[in-house]
Amino acid sequence: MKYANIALAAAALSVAASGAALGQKQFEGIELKMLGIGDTSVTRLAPLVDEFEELTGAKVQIDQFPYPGLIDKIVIEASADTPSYQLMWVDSPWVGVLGESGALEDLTDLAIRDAEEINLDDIIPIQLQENTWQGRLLAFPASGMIWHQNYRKDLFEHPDEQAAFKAKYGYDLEPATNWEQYIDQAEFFTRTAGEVLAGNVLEKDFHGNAQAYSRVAGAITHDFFPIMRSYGGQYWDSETGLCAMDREPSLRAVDVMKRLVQFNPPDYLGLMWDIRTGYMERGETAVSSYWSVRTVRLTNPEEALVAGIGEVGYAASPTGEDIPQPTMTGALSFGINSKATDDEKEAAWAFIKWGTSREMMRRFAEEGNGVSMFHRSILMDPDLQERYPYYQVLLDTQEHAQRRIFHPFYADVEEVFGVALNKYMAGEADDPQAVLTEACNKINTRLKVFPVELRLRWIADPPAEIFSN
Amino acid sequence: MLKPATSEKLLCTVLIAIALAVFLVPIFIVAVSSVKPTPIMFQKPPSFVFEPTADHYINLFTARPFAKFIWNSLLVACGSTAFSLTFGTLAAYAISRIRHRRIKDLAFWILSMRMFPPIAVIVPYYILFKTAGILDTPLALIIVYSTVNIPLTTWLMKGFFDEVPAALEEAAAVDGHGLLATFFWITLPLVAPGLAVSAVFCFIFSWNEFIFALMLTGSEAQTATVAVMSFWSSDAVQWGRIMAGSFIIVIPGVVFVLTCQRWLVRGLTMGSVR
Amino acid sequence: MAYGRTRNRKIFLIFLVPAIAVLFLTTIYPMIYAGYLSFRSYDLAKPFVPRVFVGWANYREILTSSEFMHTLIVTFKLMVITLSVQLVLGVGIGVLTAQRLPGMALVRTLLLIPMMISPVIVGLIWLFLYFPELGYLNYFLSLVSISAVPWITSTTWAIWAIAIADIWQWTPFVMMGTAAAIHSLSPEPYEAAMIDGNSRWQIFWHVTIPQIKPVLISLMFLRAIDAFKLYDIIFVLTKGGPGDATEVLSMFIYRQSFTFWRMGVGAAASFVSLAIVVVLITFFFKSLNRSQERI
Repeated sequence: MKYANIALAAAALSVAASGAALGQKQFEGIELKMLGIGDTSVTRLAPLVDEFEELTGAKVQIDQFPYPGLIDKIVIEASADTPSYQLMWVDSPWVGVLGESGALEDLTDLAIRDAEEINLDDIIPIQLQENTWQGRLLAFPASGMIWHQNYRKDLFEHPDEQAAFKAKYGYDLEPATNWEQYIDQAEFFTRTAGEVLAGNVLEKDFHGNAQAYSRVAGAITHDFFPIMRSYGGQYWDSETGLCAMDREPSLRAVDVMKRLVQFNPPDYLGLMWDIRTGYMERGETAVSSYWSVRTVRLTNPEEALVAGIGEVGYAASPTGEDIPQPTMTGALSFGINSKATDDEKEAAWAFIKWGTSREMMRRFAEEGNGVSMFHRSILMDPDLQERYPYYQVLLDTQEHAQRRIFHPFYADVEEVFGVALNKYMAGEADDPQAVLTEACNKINTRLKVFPVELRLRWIADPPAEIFSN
Repeated sequence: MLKPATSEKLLCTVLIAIALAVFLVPIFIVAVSSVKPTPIMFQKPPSFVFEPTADHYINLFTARPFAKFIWNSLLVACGSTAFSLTFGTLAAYAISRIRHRRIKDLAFWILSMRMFPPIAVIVPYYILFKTAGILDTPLALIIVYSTVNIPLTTWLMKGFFDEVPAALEEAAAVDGHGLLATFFWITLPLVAPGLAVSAVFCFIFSWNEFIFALMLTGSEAQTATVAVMSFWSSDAVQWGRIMAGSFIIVIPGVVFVLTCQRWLVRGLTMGSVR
Repeated sequence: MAYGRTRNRKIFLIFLVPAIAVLFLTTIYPMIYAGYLSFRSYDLAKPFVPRVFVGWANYREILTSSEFMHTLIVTFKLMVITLSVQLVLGVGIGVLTAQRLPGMALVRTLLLIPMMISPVIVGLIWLFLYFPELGYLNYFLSLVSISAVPWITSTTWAIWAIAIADIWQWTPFVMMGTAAAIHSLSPEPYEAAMIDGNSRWQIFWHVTIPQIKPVLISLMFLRAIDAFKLYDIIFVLTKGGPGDATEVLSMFIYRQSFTFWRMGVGAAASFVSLAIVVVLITFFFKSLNRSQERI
């Protein structure tokens, strides 16, 4: 019966899409509400919900809340017996806490059932893995991102700069493949007003690099973790399930960030997400690495001055010592409240399928909202690649990628390491080892309450079961 | 009244000008930023000369039903003010008039409600309102804000009632007026300025509150403050819209204070509130 | 006497009972719930964390935690800074703007604007102003050749940055009260003082201040309570950082209750905070009242 319904819904979707109307709508009378946010993954979809109602009869309302405090609101909502929201916007690191508490509906069977309809084969696997908990798919990607580097292509290709760089460092000026090169480049391009950059006398200081060092919204950890991982670091000890972020790779990541400080803007401790990306967008820094959700702006003169000043190039995140390391991924996704009724769940799933479908994503890309795509065919599309020059990087890096932290105690990690790292970068603490160990101890105090089997299960990342079919 | 000597007038004017500059420049910057195109939002040095854009204001009202959120804010602020004024005044009158040794403890208990950190009671309120089915309604916020505003009103109004001479009420009683009639026709008009002060304080608090409004509302009863903050999303902080929203939501508050100002002046001083 | 007693009872029934009932009904459940939580280990986000009775463990943890003590110190520091500056500035501007001159009413109104902005948004506005390189404040300072100040990005300056934002928002509150108080003063004491040949400063100090003192005390009282709950501005500006330089009590409670979801610890910290405020405020204002009576 259920299968028949879905077949009908699928038919309804395709028929209605071609303009014909169907007498009986599948989800007539159902009202869905999404606990959402005001970012692109939602705002590009929000104005279109009426189209979904036209297709299926289900009314969808998307509530938008600020990012700070959103996870708190989701947790409170999830703890209630009767849901106010059937749909939830999920940042992939939250999957652990929401998954272990059973707040999100398991989408595995639905995804397998509708594999063809959702073009499962076309979706980059890591983006689905990113949304799993214990191998079960708990949310569906609406925006897939990676952490990668942006560099000023026009400066990197300027003959004077290339010659000067080669003379100083003894190797060619090219996008950094390891952090030592990244630091060299940051140093090389740090210029003060009056000096010459690419043949022009600078009116104001130019910064070699801009990374996030702010504690606000955990920003500093969002840059620290990818660097730590690019040195082969792990969040957790595979034997005990306890914090492993005080080891060699973490120390080296801390060292990289500390050495980059002098090439960052003087307000480095206040650089949170978009303040940091702002330096790249205004063309005031040479290299900056961040999540690809903001990359789309770099080619848009409406949003970024740099588009009119020079050209930005894109490359994979540097690694430790040229030992290839997986790129770090993240996903902004839609999930279903596990306490919704069966009818609501079915309608919510139909909405997710519709809102994240390849057709919809292509439409977004064509309308200019092509940020963070996760369908191979879209990323490979030559026309779109021309429009979004970083698609190739997204495509290449995700083939060899590793998901973000997804532990149920993620919030503790972000907070505790945010304070610890921020303190060290501010010069309040001298010994990085002591800082990291203390942070780890704080987290371990909370984890040691649980048996080791449970802790090991929490860090396990079995392949998503949707791939086994 | 102090009459400033002419020679000092200049100094006064200068000082007032400085005060105005200090307190209004940030507002001016908000206004400027609200019409500043996004790419140059942050710049060194900040640009003051540019072609203004109305985009942020248009986006504010088209991307989200911002007018509705302002309405919600007004509804909640006025509702809570009315509610708190009613019950706070009643309690204050009683505390001021009842002669009993335990009445001071009671007054203190009421006031301590305001001192409790709000974060610890968010979840219980959520559960309570969910059960009662009033989550995401202005009523929920009116109730929560009143638990903070009633103590304030009680405390302020007690000072005002203390100042009303008992002889006045006794005379009214002799004239045959009942308790309620005396209260409404004799006492209350005398403390009208106090009501204005309390109203302003209640209104400001309800208008500005953020954390309860965030946790206890969805898009039905979302207040303007939360709506403005919601332009802080996961991929960007949309400063232009935040600035446009901030600039707009100042206006109703100022209008409200202006309306009450006539009584405010007397109100703040009459009750030597203690 | 009989009249008094029935009147007492009547007032009690008609006035006090409804108010108390409303307050009781709306606060009793959350308070009891919070009290109950404070003796438990309770993690709302992670139901698999054992939810058990822990006795006084939460309270013990808080009272022996150096982190909590640190937040208390920061909270008091902020409170002392903001309250004293608000008092001085507010009275000063209040006196200035209380003059009966044309345009003064408009000035007073304009000065009220900061109060009408939500603290979270005040935080955002000051974030805008504070960025050392991009912010307006350092730009203005550079115009008068003062070198850039690392407002929110230095552990020593951050607390001042928070204080300034709070002072900016709430000085108008004190100003409004002062101006109103001055307007209601009777002219006789001034005339007498003038005749005695006192200087304007003496008159201000010995005549004006004592008369408006009760108003000032009540304004400070309100500010003190709110200063203890200060949270929004910090949440946006520094989130307690850099390092832990601006970790106030409310941030501690927020982090325990929500981020870490240790709701028991958060609730216990709330009650400890309540106790501290109650004790301090009664102590402070009792002594203030006493000193006032002596004058």
